[in-house]
Amino acid sequence: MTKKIAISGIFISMALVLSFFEGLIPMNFGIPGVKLGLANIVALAALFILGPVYALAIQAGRVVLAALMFGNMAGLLYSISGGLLSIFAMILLYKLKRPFFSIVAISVFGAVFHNIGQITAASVIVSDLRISFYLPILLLSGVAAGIFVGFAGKYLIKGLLRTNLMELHNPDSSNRL
Amino acid sequence: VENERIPSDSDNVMKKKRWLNDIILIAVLVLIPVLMLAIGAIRNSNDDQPTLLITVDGNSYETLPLSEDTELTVTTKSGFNKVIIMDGEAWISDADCPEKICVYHSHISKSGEQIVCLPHKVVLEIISGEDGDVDSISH
Repeated sequence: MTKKIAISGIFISMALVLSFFEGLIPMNFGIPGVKLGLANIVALAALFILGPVYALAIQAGRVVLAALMFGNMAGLLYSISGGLLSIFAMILLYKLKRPFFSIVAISVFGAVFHNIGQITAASVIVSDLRISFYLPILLLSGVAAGIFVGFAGKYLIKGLLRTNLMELHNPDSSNRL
Repeated sequence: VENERIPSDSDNVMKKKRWLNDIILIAVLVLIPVLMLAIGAIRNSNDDQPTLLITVDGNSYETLPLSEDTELTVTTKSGFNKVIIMDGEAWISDADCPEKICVYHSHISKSGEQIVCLPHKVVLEIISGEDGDVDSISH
């Protein structure tokens, strides 16, 4: 328990550093919302090493702290809806009774739902449902980013396990990496 | 070490199957947006008179034909957005919102394309000429 809380702290700080680092990379495709989502690498690691409950707490903590530290409050609503929908989607695939999908598919699913959550929040804010014009482009970029993040998460988890300081939350999920 | 268990044969079979599942899921997630884009492109193909519709907080503010070059400053209680129409394209050249996402947005010209300024709740959308007529009546 104490160890898990300590690891949660490490994961939140890792995610914050990745969020900050991503902000330094200039990326502008002319479409708002297209991004890599590097912090999701840590969300995947949290899910596989600490389990769904901790992963959810870490995601919520990360989103709020990132908004406080280098975002603005206006952006918090999108990050929260995107971040939470994304982690719920990933938990769903992770918890499926039979492990149908590997970590890469879990990551892609999470990325796509991150974008869906953000665009839903944006539609509600401008009270205009037609904002979904952005949706197809965001879904495609989400798939691409999700594949990249999924592989990065896979190697991060394998590396973390090699330190022997952490182990998988569910030992049976080792063949999903 | 307990983490490194030796993969059995059934593990390997499952792993292969899982890759197939992954690819199917990813293919579906790619197919859906591609279909959405294709449907959008088909609906645009017979669009002869694109029009720019500006809405503020969900209410129609102004409709302008893309064929005429104009400049317009949308002033709301949260700030201003300077809209420019030139050579059949529309964009926001300046605004006093914090992140200026709308200003960095690419130019829009095809039906369905949008520029959204979330802090000011301003939406620029290209609609086809016929839609424009309907809108100007209904509003």
